[in-house]
Amino acid sequence: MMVSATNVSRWYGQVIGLNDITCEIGPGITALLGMNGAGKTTLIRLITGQLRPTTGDLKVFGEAPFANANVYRRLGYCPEIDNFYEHYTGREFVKFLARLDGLSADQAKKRTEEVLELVGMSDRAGRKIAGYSKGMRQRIKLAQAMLHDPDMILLDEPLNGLDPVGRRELIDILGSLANQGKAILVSSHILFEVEQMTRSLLLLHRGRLLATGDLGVIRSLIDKHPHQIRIETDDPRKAAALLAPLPNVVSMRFDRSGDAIQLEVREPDSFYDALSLAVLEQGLSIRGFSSPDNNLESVFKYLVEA
Amino acid sequence: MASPIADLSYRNYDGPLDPPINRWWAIAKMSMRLSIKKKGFWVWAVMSGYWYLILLAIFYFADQSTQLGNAVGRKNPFFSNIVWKDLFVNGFSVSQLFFLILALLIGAGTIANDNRANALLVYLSKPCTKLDYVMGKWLGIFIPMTIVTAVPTLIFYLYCLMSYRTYGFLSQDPWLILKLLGMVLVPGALHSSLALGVSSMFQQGRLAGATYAGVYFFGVFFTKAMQSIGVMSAMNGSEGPSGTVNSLYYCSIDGIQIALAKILLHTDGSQLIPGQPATPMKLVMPAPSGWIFVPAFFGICALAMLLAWSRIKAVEVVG
Repeated sequence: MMVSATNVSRWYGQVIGLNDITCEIGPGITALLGMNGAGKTTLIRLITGQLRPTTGDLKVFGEAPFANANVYRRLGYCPEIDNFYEHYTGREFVKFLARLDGLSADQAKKRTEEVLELVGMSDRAGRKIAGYSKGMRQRIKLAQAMLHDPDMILLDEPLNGLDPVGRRELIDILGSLANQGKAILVSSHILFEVEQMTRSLLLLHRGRLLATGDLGVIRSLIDKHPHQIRIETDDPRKAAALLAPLPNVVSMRFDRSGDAIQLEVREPDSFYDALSLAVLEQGLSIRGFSSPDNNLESVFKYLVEA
Repeated sequence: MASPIADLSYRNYDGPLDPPINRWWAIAKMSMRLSIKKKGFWVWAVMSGYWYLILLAIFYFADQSTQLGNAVGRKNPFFSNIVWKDLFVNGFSVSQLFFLILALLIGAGTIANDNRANALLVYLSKPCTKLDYVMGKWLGIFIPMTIVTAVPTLIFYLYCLMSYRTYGFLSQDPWLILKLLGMVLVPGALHSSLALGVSSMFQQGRLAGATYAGVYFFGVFFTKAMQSIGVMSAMNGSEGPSGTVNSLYYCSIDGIQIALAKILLHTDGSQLIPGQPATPMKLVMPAPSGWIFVPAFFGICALAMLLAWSRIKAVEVVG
């Protein structure tokens, strides 16, 4: 594991930022979710070594990250804020940070052009940052985070301000980095897009870790809220008659359109087995089915409300 | 043959990475690059050497008067009476205001602007230490200011060396060049340390600049008050200001620099225009004790740097 936190807490005076967090982050994309003030940025700053845990043990690449240049060399950080040096051009800014990353002057120049091209800023990097839009600033920040080809990249709200094409491009880039075995930690409020990136999440709420792991597994463990399933069929009454007796069906109602039924079930896996039997043995015709609350937004809502 | 469609997929960096040491130079270079891009920097840098230009003009006319009076071959009494190193002390003294303006221009916002932009979040997540950051920022002010101080001083030195050796320019103090090289380091060192200290306390460069200028001018008024006391003493017939008044006269940002210049050049100074008679109204305050002002100089620089060091944090602290 690249990051290992054991009972980590961080206090800001009388205010608690993170409360007794224990988690691990490995290769691949992990979404860091939580409402404002949940502790997402605090966790990122702990991992990037800009804060020291008040209590607990935090290891990044096996070392304590606070003021540890060896750890910084393997980390790329894209902060949420984007009002950097307004007098620099994007190219100057990225090249300067490449020098801080330890690239020689020639390598810094070459690598700067590579990452600027990657984030689609080659043609606009000669302009001063003061004239950049939010999306352009976001791209420049991303460029500087990827300069030294780090093993782990932390992105704080990277999708803010990016246009749809930019978002798609970023998600693709992050996907390819994750496929190379890098760890990507993405903090975001845009759940829909986070869901396109990953099923692995780390959910914080009021400084505490609410859930960590695969979205599907977490959803299946939330027993308080039965799973919603919508079945589209030519014969909703027959479907209702076949499915209502099943022990894990909690409730059922007919859709207003008249060609679907909506069910609430527990233990969805056994329900799906029974549904398969109904199709195969009883001749139930199904045009399609979906699970409207088996998504990140619902999981987020259920866990936070709980 | 390469594809006509550019490959924009992620490319790994497989070049070398330097060990995480000496990153301060990258920060210093970037700070200096920002400074020299400002037009104001060049304007005030040129202006800071204006006194040497005036002296050159005076020397030119003095040379001309010698030739007009058919005194070619004879020594010009104007040059014969000059204490050469005092010219450098005077040039250094009258440039103080310009050094302040330069310090405000390139130094006051150096950390405050980073605080406002939260740029420290990025810097300090890179493999560089807080020491690299402070050192880089300090050098980013120190180097341009030292160059601005040194260039007119050394040009004037070379001019005098070539033109006035017969008037004792070299024989009065053969080690003058080394002493001058020490003197030109003083404004850069003091202003960069103080500017960093003040700048680290603010989130806005302008506010930091206003505070620094306020401290400077408060010191100037204090200095003038001490000078007035000295003048009154001289007019009342005493030989000069008391030791305490003399020391207090140098207790300001520009005062301590002038004190160090006098201590380094080992002179009490003389009238601004060479050859002017000394009167109580135009009192020249003698050099203060080096035992007090040299440690005070280093102490102030160290304290200001310590302040900057303690204030620099990558994160805002709540509560």
